[in-house]
Amino acid sequence: MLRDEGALSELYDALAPWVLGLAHRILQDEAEAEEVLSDVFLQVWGHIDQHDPARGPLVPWILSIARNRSLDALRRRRRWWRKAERWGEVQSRTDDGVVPAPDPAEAAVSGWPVHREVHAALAGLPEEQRQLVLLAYFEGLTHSEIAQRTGQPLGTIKTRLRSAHGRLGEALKHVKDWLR
Amino acid sequence: MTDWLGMMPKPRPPRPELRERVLARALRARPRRTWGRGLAAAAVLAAALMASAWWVGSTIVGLRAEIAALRDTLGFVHGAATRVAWVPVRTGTGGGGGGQGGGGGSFPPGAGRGWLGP
Repeated sequence: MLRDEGALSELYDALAPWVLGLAHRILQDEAEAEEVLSDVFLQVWGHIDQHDPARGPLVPWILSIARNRSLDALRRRRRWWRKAERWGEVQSRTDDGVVPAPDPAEAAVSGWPVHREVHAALAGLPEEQRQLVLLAYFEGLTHSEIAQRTGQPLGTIKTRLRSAHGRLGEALKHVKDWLR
Repeated sequence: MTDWLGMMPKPRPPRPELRERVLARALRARPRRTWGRGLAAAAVLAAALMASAWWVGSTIVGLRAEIAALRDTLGFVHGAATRVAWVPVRTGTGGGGGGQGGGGGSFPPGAGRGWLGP
């Protein structure tokens, strides 16, 4: 991608809602999510030449930056402010597995079809696998931490996650960047 | 591919005033870093060029001196007025022993300059 201001603006318009949505989903805090959004675009703009299209599409690369930044902020917050119980309650309300009905404004956001595909892929997982994927991806928990949290053996966690990643990979392999 | 899991949460359109701030921050940061890196690269390049120039210069001066010395020697050896004499020498003959024989080449002085060789 050319490094020019127009390209950055276009990238922001296309991806900011998704980056903010992901950051908010992880952090459950509007101000912190906005901070992550700003950091992500700063990092993307500074390191756009490090993105190798041969190694993967642009959108997942940017989303992975957003996820890492959000998890960093989450870990900092957890260290400083132990409010895991309250946060866990919020998570259980938002992880009900129901594909959200879009309001017209949301459905107009570019990338919405990919969002639906991801939901469909997750919905296709057995419940016990889906929960583990969500814990690993959105809370950044290690396998051991997930085992501790769920009370399941570590081996079971690893097996289920491996299986879930295989299924997701199969279900989403046809998804491509909508940005060109 | 779990890379796409980041698309699972619903999109949240950011506040409109955030756009200006985020883009301005990103664009402000970029030139400073480029300028710093460019300056560092230019400084390294300049230092490398200066070191190379100094090495090349000193090598040329040394080679010139060597060539001049060789020319001088060859000019003298091949000069029309140069004569070579062989002087036989024997050592340790005073006490009746055999001693050792040898000799030395000599360029006797001629035409205003002279040089002795081994």
